[in-house]
Amino acid sequence: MELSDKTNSLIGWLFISLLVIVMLASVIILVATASVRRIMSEENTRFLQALDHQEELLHSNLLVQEKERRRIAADLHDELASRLNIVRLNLQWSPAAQGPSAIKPIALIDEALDITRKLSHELDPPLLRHFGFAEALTDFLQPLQNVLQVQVCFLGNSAQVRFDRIKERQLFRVVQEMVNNVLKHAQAHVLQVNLRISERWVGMCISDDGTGFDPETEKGGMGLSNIESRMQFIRGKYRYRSDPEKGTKIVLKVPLNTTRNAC
Amino acid sequence: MLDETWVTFFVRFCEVLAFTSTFVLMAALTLGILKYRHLGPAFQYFVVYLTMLLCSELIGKYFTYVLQQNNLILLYPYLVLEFFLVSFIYRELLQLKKRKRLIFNIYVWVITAGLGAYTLFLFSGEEAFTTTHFQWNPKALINGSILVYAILYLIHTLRHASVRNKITKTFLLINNGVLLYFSGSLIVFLSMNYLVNVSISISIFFFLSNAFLALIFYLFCLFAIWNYQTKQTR
Repeated sequence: MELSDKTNSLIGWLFISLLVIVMLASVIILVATASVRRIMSEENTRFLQALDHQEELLHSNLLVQEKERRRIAADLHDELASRLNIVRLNLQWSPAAQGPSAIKPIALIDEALDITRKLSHELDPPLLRHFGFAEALTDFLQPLQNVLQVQVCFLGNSAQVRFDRIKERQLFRVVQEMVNNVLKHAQAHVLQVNLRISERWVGMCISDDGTGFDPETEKGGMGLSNIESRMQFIRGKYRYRSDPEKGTKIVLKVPLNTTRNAC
Repeated sequence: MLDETWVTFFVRFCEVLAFTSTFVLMAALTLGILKYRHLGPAFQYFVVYLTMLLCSELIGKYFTYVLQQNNLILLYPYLVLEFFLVSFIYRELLQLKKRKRLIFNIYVWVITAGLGAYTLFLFSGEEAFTTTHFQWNPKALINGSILVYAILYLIHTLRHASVRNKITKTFLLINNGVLLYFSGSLIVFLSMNYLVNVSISISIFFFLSNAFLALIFYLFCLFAIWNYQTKQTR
């Protein structure tokens, strides 16, 4: 009887210790899980804040870049081009420069003036400023056919439709970058650009029959990251499909209902 | 003391819990295999561990219900494998620095080799596997070691919790299951040498607790693998 009591008491203690250990483990689990959750949520907040800050920096960088482009374009057009014009006129009307020896300097100045105008227009396309995205795009694409012997097909539904100026400008830069990539690397014969502007969005499709590229190897490249940051800035989406020897197709979509502060 | 009917009821209930655990384990393993390619190395080791658990459960049940004999002979090889695999999992998760990793490796190899040698020694004499002669201390040692790993991992998670680390997010759940199951199991197996010699009407509560904790552990595993995100979200 005494032995049985001892056994019972031992078993009882064992069972109590089992319960205590399990309860202790449960408490540790609850406290630790709550702490981990709190740490994770704090870290998540910090991470999101850092992400927002980064996005803000990127956006202000893009806006400053655009502002600077406009300033350089204006300087080129108003200062350099005017001075070159004055030099040209002086040369033209100078009695010392009436002979055939003056033709070469005047031609050189004309060339310099052309380059200055071209640079100024590329930096800040006047058509984009005054007539909108579709007109500027037509103006940008048209000369390519003559100069680079690439067959350019441009289809657009709305030449005069204007939308948010910042979006127009950023989208134009994106298309410029994409088309330049095609011309530089794709060795394409045909470049097709489709544009559709509705009340709520702008849709574009740029395709070529060039050599294509491997998206995995080009992922870290400046071109694609520039496009990505600009598209992110205007809250646009884009996707591309590229197969070696089959060309590249890029589809862009930019919503027009969201607004951003102008610089 | 319980009467015969209650003892039979609890024994049956214990069996039901054990079978339910096996099905939950099967479900967790199936999910683990389906997601295997997307899992990190620690989770992949964990799927291998689940496979080992299921195999030992099935072989154990084969011994008990088909061959009608005790399955104690399986316990030591199972312990060696369990310790080895769980150590691998936690070594991956704890991300130990050079010196600590070396100490950890030495500990694992010493215990594995010791246990392996002891297993071979036991296999030379058959009576070691009869219930009255069987020594449960190595099981308690392994449970204790795994419990220490789980506590170390909990401390590690508290120090390095990261919202972007999906392994931490999901393995914490499994670690909670490990803590819960192995802490209870440690007490059960520490006193097992004593419990096997007392009446079933007393020891049944311990076996029942162990079966219940095992079921909870497998449910934690199933839930963790179910929740493991195989797609990267941005």
